[in-house]
Amino acid sequence: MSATDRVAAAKAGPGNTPELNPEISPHTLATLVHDCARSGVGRRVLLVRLDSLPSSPVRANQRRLARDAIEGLTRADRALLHELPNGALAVSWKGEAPAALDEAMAALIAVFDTGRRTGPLSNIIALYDLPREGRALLHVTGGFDVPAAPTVKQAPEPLEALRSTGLDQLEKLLGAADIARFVRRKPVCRRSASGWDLAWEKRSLSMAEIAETLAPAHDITADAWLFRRLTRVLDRRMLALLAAPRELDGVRPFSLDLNIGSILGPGFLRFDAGLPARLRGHIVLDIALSDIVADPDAFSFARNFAHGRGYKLLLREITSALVPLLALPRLDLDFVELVWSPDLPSTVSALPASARPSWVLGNADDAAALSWAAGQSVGLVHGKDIAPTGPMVA
Amino acid sequence: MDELDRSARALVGRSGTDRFMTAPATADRTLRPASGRGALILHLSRMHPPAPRAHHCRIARAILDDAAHAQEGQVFAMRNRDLVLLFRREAGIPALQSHLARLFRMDAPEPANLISLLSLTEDAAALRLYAAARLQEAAREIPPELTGSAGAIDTMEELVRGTPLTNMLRRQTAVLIRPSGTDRLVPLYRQLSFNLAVLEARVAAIGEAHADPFLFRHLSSRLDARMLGALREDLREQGPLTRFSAGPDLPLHISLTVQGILSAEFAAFAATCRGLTAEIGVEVSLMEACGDPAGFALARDRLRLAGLRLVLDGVSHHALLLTLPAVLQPDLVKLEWSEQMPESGQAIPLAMDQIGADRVVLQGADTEAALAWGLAHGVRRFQGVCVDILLASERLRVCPAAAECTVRQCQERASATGPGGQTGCGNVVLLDRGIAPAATVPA
Repeated sequence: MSATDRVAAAKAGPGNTPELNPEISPHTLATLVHDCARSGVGRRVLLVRLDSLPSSPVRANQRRLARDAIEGLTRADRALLHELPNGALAVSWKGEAPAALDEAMAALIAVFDTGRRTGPLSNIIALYDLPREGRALLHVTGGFDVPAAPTVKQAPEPLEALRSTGLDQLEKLLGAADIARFVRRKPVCRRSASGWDLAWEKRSLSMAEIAETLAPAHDITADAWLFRRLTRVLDRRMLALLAAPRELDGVRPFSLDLNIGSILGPGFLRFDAGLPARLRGHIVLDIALSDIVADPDAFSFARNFAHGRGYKLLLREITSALVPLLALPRLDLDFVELVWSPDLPSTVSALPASARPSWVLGNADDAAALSWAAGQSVGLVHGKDIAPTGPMVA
Repeated sequence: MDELDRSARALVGRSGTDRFMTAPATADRTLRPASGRGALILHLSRMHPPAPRAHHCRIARAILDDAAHAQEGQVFAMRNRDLVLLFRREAGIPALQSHLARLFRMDAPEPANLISLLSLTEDAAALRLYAAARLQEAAREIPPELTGSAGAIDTMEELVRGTPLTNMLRRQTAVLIRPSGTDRLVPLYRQLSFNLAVLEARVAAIGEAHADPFLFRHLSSRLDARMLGALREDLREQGPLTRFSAGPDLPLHISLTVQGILSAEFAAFAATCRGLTAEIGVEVSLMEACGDPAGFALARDRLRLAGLRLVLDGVSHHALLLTLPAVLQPDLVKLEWSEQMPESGQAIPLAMDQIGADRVVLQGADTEAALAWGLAHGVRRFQGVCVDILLASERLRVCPAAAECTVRQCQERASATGPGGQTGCGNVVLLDRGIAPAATVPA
């Protein structure tokens, strides 16, 4: 139990504002989670991840406003306000309290939905049901061993979100830019007796560098869909680059992020025509679920075409919430990339067991990720410390 | 000139690649028997519209070109978009046939309907007939692949920002069809949505809104605030957009993006709805749920807290086979009708069972075939032109002011949200209610 986890207990009833005082109650969020798990008593928890925001004067103000926004909820039945050492705020309470919760969420959204935030709102605000989601909550908040408040870098001024007019210009710029210097490679490795064997290289474009070079004043990922649209131009440029004579001499098997429309485009046919026989059967095409759902007919056709020409297909960036949504046999994919997050073990108890698809654990940057992968028989991983130790395998 | 060359000439004529022979007599002369030689016809023209799309033609052509290279043949593009491979050697043809059948298995479940194999020895007459029939047709251009332009999206949004919404919206009533009883048509909800055809026409960008699904999602997110603001005002003033809907008899449905639900405008809208006890359903596209699962979960919580129904939209029959939408815990799932559904056997009904038939709305039920298929497979909830016609017919049956009205007029006026679109109606109250009391559906 962390002594720094300050808690205020509030008696039920309106107008009874809790005081923050570590002496009042020995409860911490972690003990609450464990108590609920043991007794089966339900609680709801609203977590505001102020720790995920970089520090700046604007942010400091947002912290104060967020504290005000959840004020009403602290008057709910058995409400407890938790100020976690890493700076996150949480309120737990018994029962539903829909009106107060609705009010709090609306107020929080008003605080953070400024049009200039980076990343989705769901990175900042989350709701948990105890005891069911206790483990997930502990993972996010760090459990008993709450790390000290991280030293956040002074955040630069937020960039202006890219709008559609800016997109047209950026598309034109990209259409003419030399993108070879933005290409990055990352090994995807297969576990072997001696360590890690290279399965393939994940080739991608460094969006941060492209943005910095071509649109320095804009946040090009601010609108997820506009960004996806932009990736079409990038696909064309990447395929043209790879179709250049001798470009693929001596290269090892690799994977590419591609839109489905790009797999069915003329650029892919040119790339395919120039693919050395040595590499055929060893190239992986990484596609996104939202792209599949946007045009499932085109997906099925593209998949059948790609399989017919010896390409493997990987469904990329799947989070734990998406795993149960997938009709895997019908999707008929070779690989599914599951993105590691600390709450994965508590949300995905077991991966569907079948020979296909093979699972790839992405962003496996720490020991917890690797040990989970081993326990789930996930043989393929990529992460910042994963490098091949043995020979390349196909 | 060898046999195959002459056959080719017979198919495509003397000049050009998509011309046919000018006289059947030429074919008689040139399509003489020759063993081991044949023609593979890929009947792309038999695919369900909007197929064949440009990518079908492009990829099929690439595959047949490869085969032509290997089998010493030649590929011809027909006027109706069919592709014909004339080949000298048949060694690789069975493999090609099964490859094509696999490639098109989702679009054309019955390979025999898509691929014909003709021998130049035995089927010369059939090939001649085929060629002669093509000669009678006008050329069908492959529609260009619209890629959408961000500029057009901007213009549409600007237009919406500066124009009264009544001219920009359309409404459509969904119904529950009861198998028996006196009131067999029960209104389910009324959907209010931007009339994209009008928007596109106004900015001279036909087809642009949907040309790129990613740009369309972006456009939707930018339209959300305008819709929420306008509805909030309309609800408070009992204006034309929400009159007779948004109550317990006829809930109002609107489409919002995840970003829109997590916006301050939505909070204000939800507060207004709560104050007026308005019944609202919010339609969120499956694509959004897949693109931002964490945001979707939060948006779902927001809707539940605000007492609004979550409706999963944009579920094509094919998407229903590739995903398990019930996992997203929607109150209703709007399944888009497709002519391909009757061909997909039991797969769709089984997938609907997982959602529960009472939570499925068959969307885009524009034809009697859609209605008949739905009813035969346990679907009772429908939205589409066919439903609009049923409702309009019922209104005409009971309306005292309808002597001069046609079903089509009544149907079009009912979809309008402003007085302009309702001109000519002498019973706007019935039109606004949408449904005649104790409406029946013809047995």
